[in-house]
Amino acid sequence: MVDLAPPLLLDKYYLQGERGERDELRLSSHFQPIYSLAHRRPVGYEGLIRAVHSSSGRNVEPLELFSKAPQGEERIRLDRQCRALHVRNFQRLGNTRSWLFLNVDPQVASEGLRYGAFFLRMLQSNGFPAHRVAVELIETPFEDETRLVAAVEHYRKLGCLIVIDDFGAGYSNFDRIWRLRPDIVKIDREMTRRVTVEPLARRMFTGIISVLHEAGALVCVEGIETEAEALCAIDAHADLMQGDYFAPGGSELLPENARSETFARLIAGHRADVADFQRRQHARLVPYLASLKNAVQDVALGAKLQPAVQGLLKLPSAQRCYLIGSDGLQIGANVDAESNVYSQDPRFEAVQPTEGTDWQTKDYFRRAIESPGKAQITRPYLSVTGPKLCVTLSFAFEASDGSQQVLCVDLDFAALAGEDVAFGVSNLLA
Amino acid sequence: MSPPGDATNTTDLAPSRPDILFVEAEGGSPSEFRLFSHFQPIFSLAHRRPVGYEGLIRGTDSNGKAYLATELLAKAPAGVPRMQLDRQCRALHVRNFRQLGDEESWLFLNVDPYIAVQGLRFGSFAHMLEENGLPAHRVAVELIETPFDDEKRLVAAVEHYRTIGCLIVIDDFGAGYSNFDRIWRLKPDIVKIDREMTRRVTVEPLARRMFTGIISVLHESGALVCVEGIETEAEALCATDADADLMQGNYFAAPAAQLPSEHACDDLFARLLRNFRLETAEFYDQRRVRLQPYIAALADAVLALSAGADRASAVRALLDLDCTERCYLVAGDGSQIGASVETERSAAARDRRLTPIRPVTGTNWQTKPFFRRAIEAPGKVQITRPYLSATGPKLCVTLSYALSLNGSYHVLCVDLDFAALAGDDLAFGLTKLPL
Repeated sequence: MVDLAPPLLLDKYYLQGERGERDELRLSSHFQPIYSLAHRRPVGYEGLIRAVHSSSGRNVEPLELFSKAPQGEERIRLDRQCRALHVRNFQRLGNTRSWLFLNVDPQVASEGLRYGAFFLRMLQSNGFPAHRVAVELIETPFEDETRLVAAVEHYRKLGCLIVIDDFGAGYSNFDRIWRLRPDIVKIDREMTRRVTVEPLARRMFTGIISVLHEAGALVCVEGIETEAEALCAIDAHADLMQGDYFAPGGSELLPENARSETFARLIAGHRADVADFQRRQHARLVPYLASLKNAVQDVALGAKLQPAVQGLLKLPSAQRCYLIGSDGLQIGANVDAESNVYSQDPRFEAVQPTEGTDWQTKDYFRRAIESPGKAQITRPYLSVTGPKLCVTLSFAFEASDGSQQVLCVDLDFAALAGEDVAFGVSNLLA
Repeated sequence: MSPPGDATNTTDLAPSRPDILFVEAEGGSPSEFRLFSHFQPIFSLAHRRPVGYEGLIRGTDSNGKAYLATELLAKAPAGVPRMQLDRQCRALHVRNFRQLGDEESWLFLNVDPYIAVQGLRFGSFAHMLEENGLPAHRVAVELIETPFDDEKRLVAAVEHYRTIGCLIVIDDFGAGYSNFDRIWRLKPDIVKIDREMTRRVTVEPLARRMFTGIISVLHESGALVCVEGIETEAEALCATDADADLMQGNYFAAPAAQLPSEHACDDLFARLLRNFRLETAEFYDQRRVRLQPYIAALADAVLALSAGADRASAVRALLDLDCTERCYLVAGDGSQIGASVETERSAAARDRRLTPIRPVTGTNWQTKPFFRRAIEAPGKVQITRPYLSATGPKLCVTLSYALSLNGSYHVLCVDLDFAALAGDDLAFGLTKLPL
C-alpha cells in the first residue's frame, strides 16, 4: 500500500462480525488541502479516514465504517479514535501554521459533552493548539438543536473554529447558521456540481455566498473537480476552495506553492471571462439603453407613453413599459409588447400591475430616483407579470409638469442573455 | 394563528359550511368533530390589497372545544385515514372559498409532501377543483417543511400539480429541510419564508442583515417571496425593506371565516410605507454622517500618497479615527504591497485562530468586490457591505479608492469595524429596538 506508507501512523479497529468473528481494520489518515484564493496556498487540511480490511486488503469507505460501528458509545469511541489519529498524524507531517479540519457528527458532538474533556486532553497530549482546529459539523438532522448549540459552544470555548458542512442541502440551513454562528461555512458539494450545469443555480451562487459573508463567516466551496467549477467559485467570491481539481486527499502534504501556476492561470482566465462577458452583455444592452433614452426624451416633452415607447417595444427582448410617479405609484396601465400580450400566464392574473400599483420599495425605482438621468439595471428576477425572469431598465427624468418620473422597461432575461444566461448580469455596469 | 377560541364564535363561522369528521378514539367510541374553513389574506405590497387567501382548518368537538389543524390531523391515524382527512380539508376550503364570491385571488392550500406523493395514485385533485368550479390556475399548492426521504417522488408529485395548472409554493424556507436543494428540485413560483426568520429579523442584527440577501437570492431563483407570520409593524417594515412581494400575518389580518374588504388595510399600508420612507431616509442620513470623516481622511491619505509621502505617515490620520482597523495598498494586479498598517487596538484584538489567513505582502485581492469596483471607477470611493475580515473575528466594512502612483493604478483600502461604526444602527429596522 503506497497510500499508507510511513511516516503516518496506523491504528487498528476491530469490528464484531455477524457470527461473532472479529474483523481487523487498519486505519490511517489522509489530508486534503483547503486553499485560500487570496493567498494561493493551502491554509488548512481536512483529515479523512482511510480504512482497509487487514485480511482482504479491501477499502472501506468512511460512511460504511461508521455505519458498522454500533450507535452510541461504540460509535463515539470510533469517532474519537479517528480524530486522535488525524491529530497525531498531522503533527508528524510538520505543518505548524495551517488549520486541521476535523469532522464531527452532531450526534457525537452533543453526546460527547457527557463523556468529559476527551478532546481538549487529546489536543494537549499531542501538543496541538486548539486555535488551529476547525471542528466541522456534518449535515444530519438533529432533533435536539439546543444540545447541539451547547456542544458547539463547548468547542468554541476550547478555542476551536466552528465549521458548518454541506450548507444548502438537507438540514444545513439558515436556522442552523443563526443558532451556531460558524466561523466558516462549507457549501454543499451538490451545489458546486449544479452551478456549472444549471443557470438557475449559477445565478444564485453569488448571492448565497454573499449572504453567508454577511453572516460573518468565511465561505469554502468544496468538491471542486473541474476548472469550470473553480471559475464559478472564484466569480462568486468564495474565500476557500477544496477539491480533487486542486489536490486529492493524500498521506503527504504537497509543497505550499505546488498550485501557484494553477491559481495564476485560473485568475487570469477568470479575468478574461468576466471582461468578455461584460463586453457581450454591454453590446446586447446598447440598443435597449439607446431606445429607452429616446423614449424618455419624448415623454419628457409631453408625448403619451404608448407612442413614445413603440420603438423600444419593437426590440426583440422588450416585454413591457410603464411609468412611475415620484411617489412610487404607477401612472396608467402597462404598455405591452405585441409578442408579450399573447403569452401571459393565467396563474399570475391576480398580481397584474395597474394604475396605482406601488413600486416605491423596488430597487429599480429607488436607484433610479437617487440618480436621475442615469439608466439603472436590475439583476434578473421574476416579474409579477411572469412567468419569465426579467431584467428591468429604469430611468428617472423631469416630466413636462416639473415632477420627477421613472420610465421602466422589462426585458425577457433568457431571450436577452441567450447562452450567457448562466453568468448573470451581476457584473454589468453595476 | 388566531387563538383557538375563535372557532367557537358562531357568527364568525356563518358563511363557512362545516364538515363532519369522525375519529375512532382509543377507547372505541368515535368522537365527532365539526370542521370549518378559515382564510387568512396574503397581501401584495405593490397592490396594497389581498391577492390570495390561505385556507386553514379549525375544528370543534361535541363539547364545543376548539382545535387547530395540526391537532386534528394528529388525531387521524397515519396512512390512508390521515390522507383522507387532508383531502377532506382541502375540498372544504375550495367549497367554502367558492361561496365567498372572490373571482380573482389565489387560494393557498397546504399539502404535506408525503400526502402529495401518495395522492398521485388517487389523482382526484383536478377533479375536485373542476366539480367546484375553481380554475386550477388560481390554486397555490403549498408544500410544508418536512423531511422526505424520496425527493424524486416529491418532484413527480409537484410536476403533477404544475401540469394541472397550479402555482407551486414552498413553505418555511430557511428552516429544517426547506433548503436551496429543494428550491432547485421543485422550482417553486412562490417561496414562503419561515416565520421563525420573520421573528428573528427584528431582534437579531445578524439575521436582519442577511434577510435582504436571502430574499434577493430567492428572487433570482425566479420566485415571488412571501413573508408570513407578520405580527408587528417592525416585522412589516423589515419585510418591506427587504423587498418582499407578499405579506401575511395577524398584523394585517387574522384568519377568519369571512374575507375582509379589499380596502380594509389601505390606511395600514399608507402608514407602513410612510414610516418606511422616513426610516430609510433617516438610516441613510445617519450612515452618511458616520462615514463622512472616514471618506474625508481616506481622500487626504490618497492626496498625500500621490504627493510622494510614505505610507505610514499618509494614513496616520485615518488610523487615528475611532473605528479604523487597518490600511493596506493593493497593486493594479490585485496583490497587496507590503504588510497592512494596523491600529494598535486592532493588533491587540487579533484573533489567533485566523492566523493562517492573515494578509501579507503578495496576498491577492483581485477577485474581491472592494478591489474590482475601485479599479473600475478610479477616483471614486467604494464601500462594501459588511463581511468577516481576514483578521477577524469582527465584521468589517472596507472603503477603497483607486489612484495613480508612478504611472499605474493602485487601490488604497481601509477596513472599518462595522459594529463600532454602526452602533445601535447595525441594520436598518433595528434602530428603535432595545438591543
